[in-house]
Amino acid sequence: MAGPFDNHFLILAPDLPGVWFTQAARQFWLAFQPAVLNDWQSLKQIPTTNNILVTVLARPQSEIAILEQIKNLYPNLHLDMVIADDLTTMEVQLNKRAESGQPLGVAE
Amino acid sequence: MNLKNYEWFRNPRGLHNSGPFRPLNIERYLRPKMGWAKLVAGSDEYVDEAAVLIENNCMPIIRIHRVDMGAMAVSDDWYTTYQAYYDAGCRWFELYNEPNTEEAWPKNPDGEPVVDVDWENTEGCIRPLMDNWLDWAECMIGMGAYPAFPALAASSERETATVYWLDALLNYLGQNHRERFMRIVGSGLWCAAHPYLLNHFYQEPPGGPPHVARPYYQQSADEESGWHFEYPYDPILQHHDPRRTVFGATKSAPYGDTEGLIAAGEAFQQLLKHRFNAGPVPVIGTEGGITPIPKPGDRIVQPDKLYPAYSAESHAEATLAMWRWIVDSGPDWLFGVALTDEAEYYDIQGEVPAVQRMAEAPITLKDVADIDTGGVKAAELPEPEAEPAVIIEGRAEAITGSEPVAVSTEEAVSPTIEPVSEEIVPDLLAAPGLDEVEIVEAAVDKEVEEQLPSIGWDDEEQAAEPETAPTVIIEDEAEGEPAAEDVASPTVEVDVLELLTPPGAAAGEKVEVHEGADEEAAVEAPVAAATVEEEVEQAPADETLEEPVPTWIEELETGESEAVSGRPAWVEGLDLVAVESGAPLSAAEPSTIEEPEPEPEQDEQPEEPEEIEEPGEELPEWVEEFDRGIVEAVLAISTESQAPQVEEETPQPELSEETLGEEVVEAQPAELPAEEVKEEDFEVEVLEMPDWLDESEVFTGEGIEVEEQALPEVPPEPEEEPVPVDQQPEEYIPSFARADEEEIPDQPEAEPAAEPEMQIAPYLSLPEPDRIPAWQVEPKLEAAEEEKIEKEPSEQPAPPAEISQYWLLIAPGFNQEWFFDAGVRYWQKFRPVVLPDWEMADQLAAGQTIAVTVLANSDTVEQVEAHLQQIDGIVKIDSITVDTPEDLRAELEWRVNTDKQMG
Repeated sequence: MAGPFDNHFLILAPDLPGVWFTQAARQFWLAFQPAVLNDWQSLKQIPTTNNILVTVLARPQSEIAILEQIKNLYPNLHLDMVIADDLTTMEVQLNKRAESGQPLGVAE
Repeated sequence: MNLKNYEWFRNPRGLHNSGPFRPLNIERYLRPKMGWAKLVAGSDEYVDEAAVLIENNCMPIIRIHRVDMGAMAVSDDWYTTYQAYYDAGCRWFELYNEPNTEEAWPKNPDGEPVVDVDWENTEGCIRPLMDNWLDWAECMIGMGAYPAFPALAASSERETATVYWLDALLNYLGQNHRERFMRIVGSGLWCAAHPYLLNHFYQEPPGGPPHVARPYYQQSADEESGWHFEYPYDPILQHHDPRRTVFGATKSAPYGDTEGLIAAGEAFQQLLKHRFNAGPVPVIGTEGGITPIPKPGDRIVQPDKLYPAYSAESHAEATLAMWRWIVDSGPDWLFGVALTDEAEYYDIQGEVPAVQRMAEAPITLKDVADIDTGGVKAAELPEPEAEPAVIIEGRAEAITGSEPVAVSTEEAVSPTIEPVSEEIVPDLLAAPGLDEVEIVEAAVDKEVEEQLPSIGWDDEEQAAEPETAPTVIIEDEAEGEPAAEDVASPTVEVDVLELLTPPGAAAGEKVEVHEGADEEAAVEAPVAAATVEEEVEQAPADETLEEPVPTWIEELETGESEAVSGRPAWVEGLDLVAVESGAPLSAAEPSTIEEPEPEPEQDEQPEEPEEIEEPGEELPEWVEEFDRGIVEAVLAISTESQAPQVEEETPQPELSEETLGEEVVEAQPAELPAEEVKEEDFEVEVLEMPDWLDESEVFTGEGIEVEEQALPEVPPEPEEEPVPVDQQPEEYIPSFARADEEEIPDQPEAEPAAEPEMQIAPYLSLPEPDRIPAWQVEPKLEAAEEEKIEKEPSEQPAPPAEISQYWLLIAPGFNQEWFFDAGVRYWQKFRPVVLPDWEMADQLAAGQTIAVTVLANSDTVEQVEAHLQQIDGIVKIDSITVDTPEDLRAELEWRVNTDKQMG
């Protein structure tokens, strides 16, 4: 489990091809074992007493829309948006997190 | 000459030796039943072996090797060696090797090539290569042998682009030595190619569809159907990048694409037809094959993510299938491939499986078609021209650090050395040729390998030459050669002039440029090139309109060659495609094919750039359209006509591939406005499908699905109308026009946008479930991204009403890496929720109706199932119990291919 969080989820922005998970997030997933969800609604099943971390993979143009959707959705949700223009950049970012053991990344 | 008359054994299998002066183990060629043996020799060391090979129905191809030979002229003593091989029965000979690479050229002390290795460098590269090659080829024909047009490395980089080099070489021959070359064409010419396939091949699943590939472990050469080696015309690539040809013709391949079995050969044939109305001539891959061969530590290799990976075993299957494909489905002119190389197949990792596979399988012989190569027959060959070999004087910067000395290669074919015109070429052009004596001596001593790298440029002969100016000067009196003042190639000048400027005053300016450049520019061809570039940059945008459009693209696309030889071969393929796609051929053909009537095969130069768009201009109208991104325009047309349809249909999972395809294609012609019909016609022309693809390999109905997927590309491209001329043409820089350097980098920049898409192999991009969840606000995506989204059709059948979610649970103890190795397609297609364990299952399942696919080992599956059965909401458990990644892959692939998420 990711640090102080009770649950860790990974969600791909809907415009992202699947390879953003199977390739870009491979090491990240293997390192942190988040549950990969298709939508936000499943989060409602989680007890509100839980602290949950949601890692969202998205392109820049999707960021605002996603934030709008999720910001008030869940009280104890820590939203971690990983934004990248392309697959390679995303993969690099996520791999760094995996290598460092820090699901939220390391300040640079 | 007729293809039937070339002497060979009709067996396309071949193997390249390990290099000069190495022991040749004949058995290594005979056991896998090779029909070709490419022998790179230092001298005559393989003459005896060549005779033995021929006795055993294996035809040698001989190339005498010299390090960094560049464009060196061939000295007389080489012909003695050639004669020895010829007397042993050898007929097929090569001279130069991949001159479009820097590695092929002499280097200065810093290790840099002494010439600017660029197809635009006529004086430094193209001229000496072709002048010296012609001399050699004529001598070989006089001997009765078949000379190879030089093999080029496969390259899609601008400076070294294979198709641009081919065009530059043939264009030079056409402009300067047309008759001589035509005699060679008619007397035994063949083209050497280096088809390194990578993984640009695949086998369809049984029953197709053709744009889907089997996983490597299911490939079988014994099942002869369904193999595809026709890259870039195969359905997968046409699916991914519609209308790509060997010349590129799409934004993702601006400088051609020859990384396929037939690609470079096809490009050569088309250019030969186009510039000389000749061909086809035989093409043999004298290096290549399916590379790299997987090493023992490599489970699989996958050089190109668009195509399936291959293992050592499937490499063997595919290699065997390739031979059969050449015989059964390949073009008539493809005579075979010499696999690279003996060391790779026998020594480096021991004998690879492909050898044994070939040894066990019977050979299939190719029925050579009764096709004349065109050209002028050998019997009509007159006395050799008085033209001397290229004479190069200049300063050789000795590798050993000695003072530069003047060098000469007069001992080349022509005995007479008469300076006629002075033309400047880059330094040290002929340097490697000076050391032949030394090399031969080394050969005798069997020490060539050690000595080759240090072939002395400072040898005595060089030192004896008078020192000259730091510039090598080629003195050449070839027919039609330009005056000495014409530093840049006359062809270049004319083409640039005519392309960039109207016939009037503007042309004068161009002349001034070159004249003004005279002496200084004469020092180095690149200088002249730069001058031209500046000129181009200064020109108004519309003046540069046509500049980046290569003439060969223009002419090929307009069907200019048909004026000479009738309907271009590739049109047949287009017709077929058009028919299958529902396009009205009758409407398509006339407008595009007839219009560019006035083309004198090689000198079709536009009179006025601005007017090229107008019908009746010498520059075909499609050029203008091409410059505007014609492919996109055509797609736009298609999309416009179908946009409503597509938008409606895309989200509908009920659409089948067939119905969608039919609707898409059939809608095209009917809904196109009159003007656009014309463009559509053009589109049909643009797609150059070789005729040999007609019968069996043309992209068929299934590919229509691809068309549908490509449609979304159009809407986002509004540039159609105003297209800034000075930008698009960069993709198609003509062989003579200088491209704006800034814009070339632009090209690759455009690519990254498609990068994520590139990661998804067409064979992987099967319909995915509707991934747009309810919470998703309408994303403001860029057009390109919308394309990508739409390219992933939502054909995944909706879950049964009782199932609200599908999960994929990776059970404890199951190797999770296996899922990422084997389940990529599965996940991309079905997009289940992925749970690493059942820890959250209780919570997530509340209020849901869940179907769970469990990945588990056989020893844990029961425990996992028992646990899941206790969770409310889970109504179906589908366990995949495997103990190897191969089993998992097989199961998940099966589900993907059968569109069954649950077993």
